[in-house]
Amino acid sequence: MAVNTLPWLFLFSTGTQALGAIVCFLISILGFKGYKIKEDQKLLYFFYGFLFLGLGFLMNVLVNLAIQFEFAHYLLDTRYADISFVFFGIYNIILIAVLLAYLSLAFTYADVKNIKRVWLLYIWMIIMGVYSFDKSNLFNIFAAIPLSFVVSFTFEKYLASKNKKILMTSLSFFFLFLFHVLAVIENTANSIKLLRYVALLAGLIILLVILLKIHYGRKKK
Amino acid sequence: MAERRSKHEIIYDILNLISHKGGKVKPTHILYGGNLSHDRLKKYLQELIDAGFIEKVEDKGRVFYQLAEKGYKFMEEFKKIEEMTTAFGI
Repeated sequence: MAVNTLPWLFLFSTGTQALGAIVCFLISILGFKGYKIKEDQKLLYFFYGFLFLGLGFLMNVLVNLAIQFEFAHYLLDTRYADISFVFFGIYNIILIAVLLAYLSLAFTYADVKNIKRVWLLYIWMIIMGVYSFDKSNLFNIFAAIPLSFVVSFTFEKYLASKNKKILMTSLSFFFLFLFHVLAVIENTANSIKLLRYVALLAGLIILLVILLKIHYGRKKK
Repeated sequence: MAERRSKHEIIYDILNLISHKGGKVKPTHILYGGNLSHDRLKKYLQELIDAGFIEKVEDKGRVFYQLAEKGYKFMEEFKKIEEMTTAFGI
């Protein structure tokens, strides 16, 4: 049984996703700079990963705002079929890209040397993305699968290095994982929905702290 | 076997070497510390001059290479990227 989302919770979820878009874009810029400087393919996957994640959040924010300010009819009314076709087409492509981004992040952390050898998984992910577009629960489960690998691999890296920043990275991915997993039951109660976005916010704040440490950490010396 | 350095890693190593020697060194210092052949070093130094990362200066008839503002900025960016790869465990 689905419950109606409270207005403030709607605002909170939109605001958190807007922050998600900003944080992900900032990380992707850093990843791209890293790729240009180090010429490491892993950093390219990292850049794409956070870029598409950021675009995914941005599209969700746009949909939420369209609903909030009653522009939703442009997306749902048959008179505006062209607008909605283009919008949802882009939205679907971005959500597929988010799944591919998570898969790429999992490969990055798994130290897969030759991505070409696992291309079939990308095809499966695209199929899953197309199939799950209008099925939010399924999309979130598909997103959680590669993320669980990312959480486990980053935690392994922390255990090997005992570097606190890697632990923070692992934690942020864990919260992102929780955000997707909780989507399956979010419609049963507003408290679950709140918990889901609190998990996302926690993950984003950790990522933001890591970013700030990278940017300003050295200048204390 | 040590991993092959990327072009930008070599550039960072050269700039870092100059920075550690007070921002101004003789070409022989770079040759000893840069772990590069003479020909490759010459190519890299010319590239660094063209990019504005270093300047070739003469002092009492001797040639020196001096780190420029752009070079310092590149080093800062490179260190940030190194910290990012460490923090994200990449």
